[in-house]
Amino acid sequence: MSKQLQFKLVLLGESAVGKSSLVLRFVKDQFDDYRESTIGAAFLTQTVTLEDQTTVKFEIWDTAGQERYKSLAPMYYRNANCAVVVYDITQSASLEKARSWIRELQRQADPSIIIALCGNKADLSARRQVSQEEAKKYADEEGLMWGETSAKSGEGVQEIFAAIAKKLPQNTPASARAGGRAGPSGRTGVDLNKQAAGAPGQDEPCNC
Amino acid sequence: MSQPFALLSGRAMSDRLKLVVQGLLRPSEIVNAATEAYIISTQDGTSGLDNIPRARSDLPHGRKRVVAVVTHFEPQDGDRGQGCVIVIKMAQGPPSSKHEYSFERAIPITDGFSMSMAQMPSNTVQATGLPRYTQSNSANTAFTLTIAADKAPEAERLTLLTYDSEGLRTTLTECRRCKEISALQAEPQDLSWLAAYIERPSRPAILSSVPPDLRMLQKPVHTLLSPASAGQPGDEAFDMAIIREDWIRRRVRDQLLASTAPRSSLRIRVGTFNVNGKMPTQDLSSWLRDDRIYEQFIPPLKEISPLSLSDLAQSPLSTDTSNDARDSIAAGADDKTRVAEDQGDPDLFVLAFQELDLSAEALLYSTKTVREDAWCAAVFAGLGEKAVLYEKLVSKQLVGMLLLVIVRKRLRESFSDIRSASVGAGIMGMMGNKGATAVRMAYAPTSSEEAASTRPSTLTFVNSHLAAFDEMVDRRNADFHDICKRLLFDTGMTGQEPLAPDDVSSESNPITLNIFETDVLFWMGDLNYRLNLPETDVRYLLSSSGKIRKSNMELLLRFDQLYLAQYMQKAFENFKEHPIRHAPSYRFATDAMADTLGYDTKRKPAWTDRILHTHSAMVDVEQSSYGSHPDISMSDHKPISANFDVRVASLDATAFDKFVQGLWREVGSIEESDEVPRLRVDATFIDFGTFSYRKPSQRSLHVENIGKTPCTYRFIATTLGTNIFPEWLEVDQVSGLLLPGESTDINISTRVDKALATKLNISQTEVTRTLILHTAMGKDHFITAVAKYERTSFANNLSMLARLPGPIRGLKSLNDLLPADHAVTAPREVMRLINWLMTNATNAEGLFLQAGDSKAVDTICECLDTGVEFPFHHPEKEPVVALAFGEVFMRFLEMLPDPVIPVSMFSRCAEVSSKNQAFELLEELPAVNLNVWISTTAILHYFAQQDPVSSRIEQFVAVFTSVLLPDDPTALASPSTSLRGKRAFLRYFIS
Ligand SMILES: Nc1nc2c(ncn2[C@@H]2O[C@H](COP(=O)(O)OP(=O)(O)OP(=O)(O)O)[C@@H](O)[C@H]2O)c(=O)[nH]1
Ligand SMILES: [Mg+2]
Repeated sequence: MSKQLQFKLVLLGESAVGKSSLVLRFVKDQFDDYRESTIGAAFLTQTVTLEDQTTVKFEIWDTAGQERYKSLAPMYYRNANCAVVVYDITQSASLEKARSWIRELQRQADPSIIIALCGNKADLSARRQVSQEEAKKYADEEGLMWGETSAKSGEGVQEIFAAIAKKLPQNTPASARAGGRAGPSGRTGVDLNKQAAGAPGQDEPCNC
Repeated sequence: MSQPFALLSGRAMSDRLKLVVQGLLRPSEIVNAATEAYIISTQDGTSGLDNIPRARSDLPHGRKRVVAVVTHFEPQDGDRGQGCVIVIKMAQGPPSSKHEYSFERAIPITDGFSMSMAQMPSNTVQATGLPRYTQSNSANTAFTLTIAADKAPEAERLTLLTYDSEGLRTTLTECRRCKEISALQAEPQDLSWLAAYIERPSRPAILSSVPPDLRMLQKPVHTLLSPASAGQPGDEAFDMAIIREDWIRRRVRDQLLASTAPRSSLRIRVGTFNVNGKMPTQDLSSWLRDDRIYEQFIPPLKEISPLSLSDLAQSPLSTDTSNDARDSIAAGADDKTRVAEDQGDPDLFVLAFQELDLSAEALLYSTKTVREDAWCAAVFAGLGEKAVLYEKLVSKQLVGMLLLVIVRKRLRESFSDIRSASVGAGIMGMMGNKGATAVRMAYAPTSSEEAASTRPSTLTFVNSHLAAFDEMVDRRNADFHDICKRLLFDTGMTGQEPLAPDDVSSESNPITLNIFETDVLFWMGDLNYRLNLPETDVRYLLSSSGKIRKSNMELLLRFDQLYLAQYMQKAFENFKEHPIRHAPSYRFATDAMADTLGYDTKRKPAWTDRILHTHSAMVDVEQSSYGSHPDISMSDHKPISANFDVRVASLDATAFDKFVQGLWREVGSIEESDEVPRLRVDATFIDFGTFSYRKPSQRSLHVENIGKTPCTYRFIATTLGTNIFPEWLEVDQVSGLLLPGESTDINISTRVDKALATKLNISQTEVTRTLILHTAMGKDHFITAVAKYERTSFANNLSMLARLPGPIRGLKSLNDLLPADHAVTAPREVMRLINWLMTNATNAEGLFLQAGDSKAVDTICECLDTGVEFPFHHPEKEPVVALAFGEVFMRFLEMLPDPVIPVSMFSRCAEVSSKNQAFELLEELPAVNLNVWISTTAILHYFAQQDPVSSRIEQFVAVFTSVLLPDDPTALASPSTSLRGKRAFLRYFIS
């Protein structure tokens, strides 16, 4: 029987960079030209299956990017196994904001958290303000995963989540990984798929 | 031949079972086979065999299970489906109830699944000694059935025993079929649908015949939910179950109870009487009958020896002897038709006695004595001509405590399932000199029209005698909790046995019911709570007469330890008690030993004898009287009585079940839905505008379920362990459930109490907080609330008021406060009030004693806060305005966080014995406090002098003592400072 793993993932970044759009593309493969700004934190789940048939279930918290809710963000990234920090490639200010989120995560979040920096709206490269080189360089310096996506076209979206799934440690039981009770636990308690002991985690580099 | 018949009956039985099981499943699952079996062991079959009961009748009911083969269909699966064996437990409730089912195991039928059967060795069956008929052989042959899940370890195998060969055969056939289907499937199956059948009650708790514990029902639902905060949703399945259960209860209450059915009213007269070991020597009719209350005092009968009295007592109670005593009482009326039934007559008498027998023997050999019969006889005698209409329903005695229930004969059949219990409490607990006895019964009004069964309500009555003595209040509270815990009704049934086959001893684990598992609970008795006031104060307040008697009695009751225990949530939480208007019922003495009111000079009078009640929303309880009966003087206590009207809905039991099942179908499986729950809130930002201590501000939040499934929601805190709402906000629905398309308005309002006003008056006035509304399995919605607090001159320390540069509302920042050495000598608010009163109120009748016009009160308060002139131009024409000023003045003093004279000085004040001493004490006060004290007492002196009514001073003294020198009744430890002393202190300044 294949392995099942469960991780808590949080999306952070300035308002309107496309966090909710990315999640919608990832979970439902849809896109909306007119999305309401998120006021709160939306919870969703999505499962990805890796090449070795391991399934990774993401419990995703899509947070509010608006400045006034900044103080509530820590409630959602604490206990998170991974964070996707999103910027808009057409807004250089949004990369600045992303940097400050990353600094905060490095200071306050679980030290083992995996952080991916994600340049969204890649379809609008004509209006690009943030070059790939600049972002990549910063990511390398900080030891982050990095990739560009377009929630609109779907480009790069599955890839970045799959890359995160691969990078997450594969040998720890799901319950321990998801930070105890983190995420709605309504469906836990059914242990129909007893987990086999997993292979040691592969620390593959990001390839997207 | 009976063979085909046996076969048919076997099939008929499994068909019936299949129907029952289908009723428990969701529409996506279909039952293929069902059979009844008894669980033997969860371990391997061989060791279990030794423990198989020898006869079928030996099989304990708690082991009974239904084994069902069920197929789950997904829309895309076509007609293949996924198979599963479900083991259902049939829990046996009390006799009157139906069976209750719960899913125990759900074992998917996959590749590794196995099921095997074996016929029991025939000698095992023969050993039962049952006659074996060849024809019905199959019905008595036992088979074992062993089920093992895919890759299940040996220890998790399930072994069952069954006699149903037909059912077993179809079960095995169906399992084989499912396994074949499963083998055809390439990809691993999604088995998440099974979650619906694992350890979850299959029916809502409200359908249980045992009412839920009142203590749980009385807690706000959100306090029962799992701990949760932003990003940490807690145990969602658990929360959904709680919210759903509450939702069903509300629907039943709002839709079924509110609309349906005639309410059937039950009149209950409850009484309690500590008889001090005496025999009944007086007519008890005033205690029992309202029409006798005002009758002439009946002199005590001549002492009758217990023996002769018990002879007399025999008749009305025992069914086997002749009814001569009752006959003589009822003047020969042996037939109901000759005694008119009166609408107002009670249907039930519930009478509690304490200290029935004080003899040492009674303690040692607590058997029924002649005394119960004697009191019973006296009660029937007290009923007079009505006695023939009644009979004894049940009684329960424990040493000196007796609980006696008498029922109107005509209604006897409406009561069933009658149980009694008793428990000793306290240090001498086992002796039973203190403790409680109780009776519990089901009441179902018999409807004459149809034979349909009415859903019964449960009534419970407790008679308790708690620890004595003034200072033993903690003991009394502990006794209460001890009784709550240990006073249990035996149901005569045993509960579920542990599955370990060798653990036979624990099979008799009796099922008990506690006193709160009821629709209505009456608690009466000698609760022995006393008064936390010095004895002289108590007698002084009790002896007052005329106008101030009522207020003095109310004052006294504020020091009642039972009231305080409830207030401080130390005992009798959520119990209601009718306001007391009668004099303390304890302790009376005769002649030389008594004070002028008849109370024993050696004991502090107290309301020791009480009647309280609590109930669920399934019934209405209305109390129409509560009083004592001073004419009955044989004991050192007075008897107490209360009339209740208990109204229960006459609900048809099947209709009720159907209604609830209907609700359950809508919401019973929301946690299994794959749909994302979606709520829409209509605001993410709510501006409350301004709010103040007097003017709360309210807004509402519209919440709508725009998803496809029922959805539960709850407000959660930002972090675990912190408050969900800021202290200045309150919300009327902290959690709830909405069906798809439904919406609700959540009311959110500001809230400022005295303590918060004190705090907010010296804080930033802009307040803000983001509330989090969590959708189960979904989104956290943020709603930001902002508001501006308007400061008020009330609830501030005098020293702070003296440092205000102007009216408090104009204060921009706390930095603008005057330095302490520049403070004014007296707060300008106090001076404005006093000036106005001195100028305009000298002729106001009822000043400080009567409430003023509330509009005027508001205006005055507003003027004080803003500094605006009072807008009353012709006060002489408006006496209500003067009263309003009086009221504002008193309120101002009352709301001071610290009294004008510090609490620490109260006891010294109370001991002062001359005017000089009183003034000397004032020298210790800060200047501002001294000025306020002097001007306040001066104005009172002035008004009292003006008043032609000579008792005015005493009224002012009484009223202003509680304003200026307030008591802290919550200081339960010892009687507070002498009230009399404090009044004397104030009198030195006023008179
Ligand atoms: N062209 C283009 N537009 C996008 C893309 N992703 C998002 N958008 C648009 O950008 C706007 C904002 O997207 P959201 O997903 O709401 O942004 P957000 O980061 O969730 O914003 P907040 O909820 O306020 O924190 C929407 O109008 C989207 O349609 C993208 O990849 N390409
Ligand atoms: Mg968003």
